[in-house]
Amino acid sequence: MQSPQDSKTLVPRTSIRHRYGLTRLGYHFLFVALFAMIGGSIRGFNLLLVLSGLLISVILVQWRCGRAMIRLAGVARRLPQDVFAGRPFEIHYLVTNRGRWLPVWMLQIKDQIKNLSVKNPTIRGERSQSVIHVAAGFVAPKSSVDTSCHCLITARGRYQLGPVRLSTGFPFSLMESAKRIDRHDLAAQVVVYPGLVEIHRRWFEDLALAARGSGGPAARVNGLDGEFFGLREWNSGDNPRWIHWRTSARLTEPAVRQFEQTNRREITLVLDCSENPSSGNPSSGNQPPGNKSIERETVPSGATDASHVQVETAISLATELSNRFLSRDARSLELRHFVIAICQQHPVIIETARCRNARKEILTALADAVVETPENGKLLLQRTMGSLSQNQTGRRSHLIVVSTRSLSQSLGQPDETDVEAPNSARTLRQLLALWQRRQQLTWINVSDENECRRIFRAGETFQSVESKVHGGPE
Amino acid sequence: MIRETNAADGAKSTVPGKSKPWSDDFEKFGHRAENHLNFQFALLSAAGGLVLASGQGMQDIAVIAVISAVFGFVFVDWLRIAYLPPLGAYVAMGAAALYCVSDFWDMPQRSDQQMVSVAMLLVLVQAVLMSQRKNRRIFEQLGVFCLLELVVAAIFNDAINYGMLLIPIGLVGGWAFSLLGITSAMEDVASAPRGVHRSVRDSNAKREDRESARSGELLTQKESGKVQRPWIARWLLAPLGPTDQITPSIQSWSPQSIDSMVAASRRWPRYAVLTLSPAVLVVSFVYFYALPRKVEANRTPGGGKTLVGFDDQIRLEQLGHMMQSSDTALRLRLTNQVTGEPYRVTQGMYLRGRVLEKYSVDWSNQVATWSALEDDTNRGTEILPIEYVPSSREKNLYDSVTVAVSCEAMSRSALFAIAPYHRSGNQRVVTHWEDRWTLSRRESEGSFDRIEYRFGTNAFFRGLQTNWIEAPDRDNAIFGPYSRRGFRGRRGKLDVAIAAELTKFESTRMPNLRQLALQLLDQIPDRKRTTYEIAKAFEKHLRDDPRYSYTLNLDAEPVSGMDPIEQFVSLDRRGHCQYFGSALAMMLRCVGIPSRMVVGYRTDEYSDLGEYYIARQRHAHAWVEALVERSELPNGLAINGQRKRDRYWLRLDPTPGQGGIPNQRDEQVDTVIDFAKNVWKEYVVEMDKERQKESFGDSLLTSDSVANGNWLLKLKQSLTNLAMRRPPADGERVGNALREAAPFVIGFFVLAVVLYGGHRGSWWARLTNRSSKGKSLDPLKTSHEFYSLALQQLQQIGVVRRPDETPEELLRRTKNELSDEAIIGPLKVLTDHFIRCCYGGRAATVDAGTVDSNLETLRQAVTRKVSGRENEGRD
Repeated sequence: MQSPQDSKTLVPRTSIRHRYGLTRLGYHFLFVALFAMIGGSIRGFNLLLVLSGLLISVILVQWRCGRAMIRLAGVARRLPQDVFAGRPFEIHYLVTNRGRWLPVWMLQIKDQIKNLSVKNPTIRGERSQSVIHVAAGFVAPKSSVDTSCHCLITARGRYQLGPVRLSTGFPFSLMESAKRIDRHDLAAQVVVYPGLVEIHRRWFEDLALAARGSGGPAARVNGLDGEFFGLREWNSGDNPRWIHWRTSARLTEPAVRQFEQTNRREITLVLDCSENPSSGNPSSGNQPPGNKSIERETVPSGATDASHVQVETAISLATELSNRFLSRDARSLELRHFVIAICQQHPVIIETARCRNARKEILTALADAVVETPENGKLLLQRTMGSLSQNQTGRRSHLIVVSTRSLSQSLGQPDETDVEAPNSARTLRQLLALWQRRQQLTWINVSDENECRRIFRAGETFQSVESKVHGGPE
Repeated sequence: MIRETNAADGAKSTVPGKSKPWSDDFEKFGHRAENHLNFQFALLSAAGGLVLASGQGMQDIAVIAVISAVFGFVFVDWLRIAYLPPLGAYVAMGAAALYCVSDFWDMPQRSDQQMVSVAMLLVLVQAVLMSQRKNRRIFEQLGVFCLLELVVAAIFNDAINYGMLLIPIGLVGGWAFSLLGITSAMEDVASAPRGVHRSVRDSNAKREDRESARSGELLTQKESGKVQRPWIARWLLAPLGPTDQITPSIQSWSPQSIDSMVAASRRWPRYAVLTLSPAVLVVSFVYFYALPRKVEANRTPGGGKTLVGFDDQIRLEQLGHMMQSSDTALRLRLTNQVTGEPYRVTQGMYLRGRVLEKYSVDWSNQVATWSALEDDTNRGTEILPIEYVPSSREKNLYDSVTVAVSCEAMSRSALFAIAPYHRSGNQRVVTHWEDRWTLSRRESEGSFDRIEYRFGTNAFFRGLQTNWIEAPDRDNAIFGPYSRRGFRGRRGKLDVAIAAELTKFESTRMPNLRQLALQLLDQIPDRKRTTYEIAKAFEKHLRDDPRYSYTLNLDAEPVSGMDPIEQFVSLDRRGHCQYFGSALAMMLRCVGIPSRMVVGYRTDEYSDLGEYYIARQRHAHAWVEALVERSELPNGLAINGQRKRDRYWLRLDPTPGQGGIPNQRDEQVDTVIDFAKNVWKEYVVEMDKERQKESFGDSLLTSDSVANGNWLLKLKQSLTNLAMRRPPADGERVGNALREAAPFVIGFFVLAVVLYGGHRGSWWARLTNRSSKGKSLDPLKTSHEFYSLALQQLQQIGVVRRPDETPEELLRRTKNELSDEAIIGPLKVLTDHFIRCCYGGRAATVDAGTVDSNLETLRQAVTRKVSGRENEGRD
């Protein structure tokens, strides 16, 4: 989730608009009431006046009840930390009743959610935005009720939540009293990370094994986690054993020792977001869940569904690998540095040690990854690799390239020159040779059916989504 | 009608969710709510028809409404055997409209029959709606048609049963509309995951297509194969079935909301009854009584009943038929003019309606008839006589009473009075027949609606009604044979005719009666043989002789050629008041005493609730009046409160027993019902400007007061008067009704509080402890959300953190209680993480990856354990 301040689209103000409108039944009710009132007044039928009095009083009570309830009700939203495409997540709403005596009944919450990455919302707007419906049956006076909603978003990207609309038709559904809250804290953005895919454990272990030793010889110093490097402030997840008590006492806040670990892996993951020019068969390739995304800003015009799915598969695989490399469970991998590079018009290269913020940054970058056309793909890969070759960490780490093309496709013929590249720049072949010589290059082609079969655990991914949706055990 | 082949499909109209496990409650509640909703609306439809039943000729319509409601609920909604498709429903509605409107062509002017046709149309359309498969639109239409039926019934039926039916209809309607709102809201909440469900359904149905379903887990618009209909088709064919919506890439569903609404829907009826119903009643009360009225209340009962009135010609057995009914005819509020208090009588009161002088027998049909002399000159002045001004000595010998009479709608113009009477107030709705002391409506033709009038009378003294009525001077022409003053001369043919009629007796027709009269006359000594004594002796004989008995069962066969009165005296000796009265009148005429028959009511039924007397049809009575000269009055008898006349009419009631007055015990219930009916009539049906002013003072919301902003001041003044128990200015009775209703209102609220408290347990304790409870520590709420979520998971398997328990203690306890490593493992990680975050130093950020994965592991383990327990329970 991105904080509201980070986005230009947020509205830094609070706007509450109340609206009270008769429902269809309410209009019928009012019509009959007016008919009875006019008829009773003109013809002197008192029973018609009694009837109209009852009907009008019901409408009045409905109005006053609904108005009071909607004015007393408040709501706050709580979003989850991570949201992955194709994985259900839960949004919590805390409904508050500020009233001293009046309870709030049957409060409906409608929270708008809109995909900000949609290129043209007028064409497929109904698919790119939706309304989250939540309800609270009863909120006692001076109390709050927590209600939640399961959500499932199948396309990565940035989503704008809010404004929130509270409404109630209590008690007789004759009138809807509503309140539209356009508040600072409710106008949040959700970054939906690309969908995670299930990969074979064996394949991942092989990949990790291939990357072993990329960071130099293994050594353990003074029985701890590496060579002493310096002191830094306490971060969540730090081992208590690393606390340097003397410094902590002096600073009155915990300080921990940092260790340089020279015996661990260094991995560079390159994501080639361009489409495969030779792809045209929609059924080719394995399609993990969450990749059947909608037309996005990131999708080039003229892209076929199959090629688009391949790119999304590549992004999902990169996300899965990044998530695994950066998760706490992956400590056994002994990863020292992780670099990710996304090949696009403005290449994104993030170099990090394993920490929470880096993981979030990388997943956000993957969520924002722009799919490039096949024509630009080679040039962008070359440019990205050029940047990486100048990076010290990138140079010495194990290189994993996730692409929609094979290595040979990317390199082209040996005599082929990169016409679009500046003359001074090295060709892609020359750049990749740095890693190829050290046998530190792993090229993953997601458009290769055999390779996909080797990587992805087919059949389990859908079941996982299905069981998630219905809340059952996976 | 279409046979419904798949009952389950029908259930999806309001219950879209069918998947496990979160939809279990919703599905269960959905089915129950749907049945409940159907039942409520069927009940509403039937009640709407029943309201119409009170109108004349409307019973068939009510039967149709009830049968269609029962049929619709049982066969369409409940058993789902068959239903009417929308197209068929449109055709059926059109046919019903043609059938009902065709009556209008035959009747150029407005009539009740047209209203019957409208009612029939409403009920038929409602029956068609009940035959359809229900959706929100149909439910709304059913509700509206019920309202329209109430409107029609309000024109037809002004009886109290309308008001009584309004209460259950209001409750059922409120509950039905609320339930409709709840189920609609639940549809919104639960409708989101439709695409997910469909994918699951498809994947189950087509296993070979599973791979493709995996790749595209949510159906898109193209896959669903449905396109959205144009708006005109949606509007026309919406009931034909819901169109499939496009499955969005963003989906949401909220089982927790369903649970919350299900729980709330169970609680709200009590809340509605206790709080909303009083609010609705108060607002409608203010609306009805505070609004200014410009139009007189319509007192023409559309379908109400008109009572049989007293005509100028009454057959001998006619009163017997009238007395079979217990309908209320009159309500009389007697007020002591001096004290202003309600006046009570001790031995009932005689209310004279018609005076009949002429006796005749139709020998062809063997029917005896009493009739009034038909002569226009017999009519007296139209205005009631002015009040008699007595001497100061005489003032203490009678009670001056004001009688306010409310007379129901009757078929004749005769009204009822306690003679002698005088005018009271400035009203001109009644006319006065001087020589007969009877009242009549000013309008002699047309419909005789419910009428209210008042008069004053001096006929009572200490609760007893006098037997004497002054005779106008023109009756001086009539002399009896026992007159001591002798013959004074004749004043005209009219008087002669009257005198002749009052003493007319055919001795040949009634020989036994004549013999009896003469025998009785012989038993009276000569010196006592005055008109008064003779009349009393005859009255005593008929009333006290055990050979005569009172009965309403007139099963005696008429003897051919014998006068019915002669037959009564000589053979049957059983009959009702009309027979006894006729016999006495004839006996008096036989001996030359002028006498006449008086018909009206005799009652002593008193309503303590309303403080008024009630005269019902069964109180109809007939008695006799004999003309007595003042000189023949018993010694020492002074007739007070009346003008001094030469002649007086003496009331004689020869009917045995109580004169036909039923036992009071039988009337207690009737009295209460009558009070309710009277209140309904007076304060609802006939509430008009005058009564509004009389009951509540000037309307608070008159146009002037609203324009000047004075209505608030008036309201304040009224409330102040009410609080101070001070009579309002200008003699207005502001707030009387409110004051009387105050105990009921207070009682209601006390009852409400007790009921609410009883349900909620120690309600007061909850209220008082709320603040302290709010400060108490909730063990489930921690500074870090992930640990709270973990505790919530643990709670599902019965491990609840105590308020004073540390996370480590909880972990140890969980280890001891559960030896499940799948739970202990992630819980340990989460506990360590929580401890580090809380006590590791400055506020730490949460490592979401670890936390999320362990939370997920914990959730799965808990879910497995819960499902395992459930399986064990089933086994």
